[in-house]
Amino acid sequence: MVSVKRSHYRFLRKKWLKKHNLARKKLHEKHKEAIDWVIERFPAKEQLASSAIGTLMLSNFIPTATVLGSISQDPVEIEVVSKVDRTNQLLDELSQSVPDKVRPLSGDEELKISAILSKYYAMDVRTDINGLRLNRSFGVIGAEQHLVRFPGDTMATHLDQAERNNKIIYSSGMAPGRGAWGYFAKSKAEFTDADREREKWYIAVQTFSVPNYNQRLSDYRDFFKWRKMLVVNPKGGQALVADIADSGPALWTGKHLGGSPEVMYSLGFSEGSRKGPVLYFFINDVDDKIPLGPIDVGSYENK
Amino acid sequence: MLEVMRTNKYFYSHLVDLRSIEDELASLDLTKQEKKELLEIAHMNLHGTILDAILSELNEKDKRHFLTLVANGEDEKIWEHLNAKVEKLEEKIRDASEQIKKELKKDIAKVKT
Repeated sequence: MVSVKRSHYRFLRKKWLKKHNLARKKLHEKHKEAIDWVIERFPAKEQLASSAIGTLMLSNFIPTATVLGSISQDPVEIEVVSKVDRTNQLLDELSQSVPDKVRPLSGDEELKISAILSKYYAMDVRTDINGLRLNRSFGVIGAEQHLVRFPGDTMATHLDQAERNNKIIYSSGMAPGRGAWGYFAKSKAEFTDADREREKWYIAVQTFSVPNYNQRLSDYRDFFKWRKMLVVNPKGGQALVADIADSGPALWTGKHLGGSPEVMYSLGFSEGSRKGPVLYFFINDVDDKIPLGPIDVGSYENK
Repeated sequence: MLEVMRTNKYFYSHLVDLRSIEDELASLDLTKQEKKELLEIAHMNLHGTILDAILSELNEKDKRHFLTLVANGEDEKIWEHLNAKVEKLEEKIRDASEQIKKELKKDIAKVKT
């Protein structure tokens, strides 16, 4: 049984961290250009991390001790517990279940791997939702282009300054057609931050090749649209929450899914052949609380 | 892993403090480490609120200059810059901090009931 003392601590910790994370997200949205500008230009991430901005914007990517210590009010010595990076632990565990060569996983392998991912990322990761699934959950991801988000969207309007400075992301260009669900917004005026995130972190999957597609056509019709998936590079440990916004690639390409330039960059596949093996599983995010974008192991613990 | 760190003040530390929050936390049955951690999280909330209050007063060019100075920890220059750009800045920082402190105290009051 949880004592009253422990419940006070847990309640306040959870509530205040949630408040902080929400405020940080809003701050970034509100002052995005300036914050991205300074983060992009600051030479040493460690130095920035110990500054006032780093405290706020980089706290997902640096040890907790650095973040918390950097904001104390008085110059006193404190002891805090560092958050241990468990990515290597995750990779060790995955290496026991993920085949060396890319191939469809067996049902047993899918169960084991989804359990491992659920445990490390503290979210409900599944091969299927209500029996609806993709043709596979381990495959080769290839690079896709940016998608047109609303009528008139071009490369000139698509990226902010920090993104334009990233040659990999800028040079990918815009796909000639629209995504599988059409425009992300009907017009520029109706375009929202949620639309921006959906295009930025989109993946294309082989919706046309799923089992029982014809038998469950009405179920599948709406199922894939913006569906969240956890995509993990099982060799490097990079991971992100993506959404399905396009259909492809064709079976003959030898690739099994595609990723936006931002997705490929975050997964560590932005150079060379710009493709590589990934695990991709559905996230059962019923309340739509898990944001799109890169994540670290344990990011959603205590949430 | 335990890590000992020396921490620093920020450019606004002379204007605001969280002593009242600290006092409120002291009235709860928490371990020393738990109090310390909650106070740190309270500081994070205060910090975000103050940065937002300041950035909301600046244009894009001034925001970038301000953030660069903050990233470099140049407190004197921060004040020079802000005093030239924002009227009644200290009052605005105090108001913003009072607002977030009020919210945090409300949460503490909730667990006491």
